Formats: sequence, C-alpha cells, structure tokens
Amino acid sequence: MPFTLEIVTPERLAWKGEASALVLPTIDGEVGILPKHEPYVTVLGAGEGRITTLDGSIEYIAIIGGFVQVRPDRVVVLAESADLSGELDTAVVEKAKAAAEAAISGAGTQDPASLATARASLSRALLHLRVAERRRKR
Amino acid sequence: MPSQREIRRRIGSVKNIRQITRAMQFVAASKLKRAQDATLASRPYGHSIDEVIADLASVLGEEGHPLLRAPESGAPRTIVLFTTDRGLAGALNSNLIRFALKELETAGAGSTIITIGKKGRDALARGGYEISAAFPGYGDKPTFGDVTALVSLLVDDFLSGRSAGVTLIHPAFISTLTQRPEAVQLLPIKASADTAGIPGNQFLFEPDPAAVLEALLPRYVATRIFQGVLETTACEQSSRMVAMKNATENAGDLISDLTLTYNKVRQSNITREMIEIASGASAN
Repeated sequence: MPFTLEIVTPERLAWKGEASALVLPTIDGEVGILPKHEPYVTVLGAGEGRITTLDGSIEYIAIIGGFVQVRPDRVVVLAESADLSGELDTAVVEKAKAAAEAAISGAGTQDPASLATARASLSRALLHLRVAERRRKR
Repeated sequence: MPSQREIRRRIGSVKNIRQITRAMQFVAASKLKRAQDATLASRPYGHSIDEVIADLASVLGEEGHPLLRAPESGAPRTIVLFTTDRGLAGALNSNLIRFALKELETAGAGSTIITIGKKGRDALARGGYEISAAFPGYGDKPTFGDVTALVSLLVDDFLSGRSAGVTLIHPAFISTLTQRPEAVQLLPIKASADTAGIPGNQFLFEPDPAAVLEALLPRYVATRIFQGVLETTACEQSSRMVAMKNATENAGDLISDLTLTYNKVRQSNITREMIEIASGASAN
C-alpha cells in the first residue's frame, strides 16, 4: 500500500507522487518511513534520501536541512534544498567543488565567516557528487 | 507659435520616449511571468511550514514558548519594509512607504524600521527617519539563500528581546492592475485558528516539540521573507508594466497633437508666403 509523498523546497516542488518506502537523513541518523507510519515530525540533516517508487526502483535525492512531516494522508518533506540524482550535472557539481576548495585554501584563517560558507558549499558539492554518482552506477 | 523645426524635433524626441517605454513594458511583462511562476512555486513549501507551525503551536500552547507569546502592547517592534531598487513602477513604492510610516506611528515607542530595496531606504532617509538596517533589493531572480542575513538579524533581535515583534510590509499581488500594501505579523508566531483538521497532539515530535520549533523558526522566518520578496518582485513588474503601457499611450496622444500643430504651422507658413508673393507681384 503506497503513500503520497511530496518533497518541497522554498523554490520549487522537487518530487511528488506515490511511494512505497522512504529513507531520510535526520539530525540523529537515518529514518525510514513506510506506509501507515504514525503522525510524526522531525528535523532533517544533510544527506542522501532514498525513495522507493511503486515499480520498486529507487530514486536517490540529495537533501539538505529541513523537516519531514508525516501526516495521516501524506508525507511532506520540507527541505532547504532537494536535488534528484538525475537532475544533478556532474560537471557543474565538480566545478562547484573546485570553487569551494579554492575558496577554502584562499581564505586561509583571515575570515571565519567566508571560510564557513566555503566549507558549507564544499560539503554540499560532495553530497551532490555522491548522489549524482548513484545514477551512473546503476 | 513655435517654428516648424522645433515641433519636428519634439515629435522626434517623443517618438524615442515611446520606443523606450514600449520596450520597458514588454520587458516587464516577460519578467512578470517569471516572477509569478516563482511565487506559485514557493507556495507549497510556505503552506506546509504553516501547517507544521500551527500543529506545534497547538501542542506547546500560548505560554509554552516565547516565540508564541503575544507581545505586550506598546513594546518596540521591528517593521520590515519591502520596496524595489528601481523606479518607474507607478505608485507602488510611494504607497508602500506611506503605509509603512502610518504603521510606524501606531507601533510602540522605540520601534525600528528595516528597509529592503533602494527606494525605501532613500525615501526614509530623505524624510529624516532612522533606519536600523538597509538591505539592497534582491533583483529579478531572488533565491532563498539571499535572505539569510536578514533572517538571522530578525531572529537574533527577537530572541534577545531587542524587539517584541516583527511586522512585514509588502505589496500584496491582487491582480495585474491592483496591488495593495499589506502588513503581516511575522513574530511572535500567531497560531493559526485552522488546526481543527489535524489536532496537533497526534503528532510525535522528535527530539521534542521545543527543539523542533527552534529549528523551524529561522526557516519559517526565511520562508515568509522570501515570499515577501517574491511578491514584491511580481508587484514591481506588473506595476511597471501598467505604468509603461500608460506612458506609451500618452506618448502616442502627444505625437498626434504635435503632428496636428505641425501641420497647422506649416499651412499657415505656406499661406503667409503665398500672400507675400502675391502682394509683391501686385506692387510691381
């Protein structure tokens, strides 16, 4: 018995449809959601989410921050950013990774704020890269 | 009566102006489409976050958390005014600024104002009002990351007690022709009355409701502000489109008036020359 899943970000609706299982990264480790889960709200961390669709295939999705709300009628994921592995372009992500690494080595110890920003974009690029690779392997 | 050449020059310059206003009208129309799409795309997220907040509020109750407590009347508030960076957008900015000043008068003593967009900052600075922070506008394609600095400022001020509440003032997009300034209470969070459908206490919150609320707050504020930014962008473009359409039409009217005057002057010049020739001939 599937459930309705919506993955939304402030900028768009990233995924909507029926799913039979969902795994999400939370701040305290991964959580799996199956149909008829009890009403539940938790805080998401950054990581890889997996959606098992009705035909049994798995969609990989890079999720950064946000919430999941399990409602009686549907599951809503409110992510700060959510990118399906199919939407991520390895070349673009590699470029972002290189830019972040350059920013980290360039910033040195002078400005903690820009260093933190660069670290965040590096970990984001690494996550995107990992999720993008998933698509290739299959 | 102006000379023929003067009138011809004026017709030429009005034609140039009409070309520019017409181009601006079409540019605004295409940007409006994009702004409207972005506003629509942000709605599901805003709607869901409102639901989670409402559920949390019903679990924690009014007194349960400082974020949900009603403010004392007369306490200093923060007013966030959304305006555009560029002008030529009809009465949009002046309406917003007038509305914000009225709001500032009714707010408690010591209330401060934060502006987004150059127009708001300039107008308030001219009027001698104190601006506690001014942010530049976010351009035609605002992204969610753009508002982070403003969000942390607002949340810090509120949690440390420097401001007792936050009110957003932005134009509400009613239709292409109508935009109305609107004041929205952002903080403290007003528990929505419409929680009957899903009683909040059904939900299991992990790690616990207060921790979820604390993690949710900056995102909630960011979402609301981002929606305000998107709404302002859509209103800016539609307001500019209408203003430029009117300007193009006015330029057309002016051109036909000037052409009429030009023809009259030309005709009277010809008549005068004819008379001069005729009288010159008869004198001989």
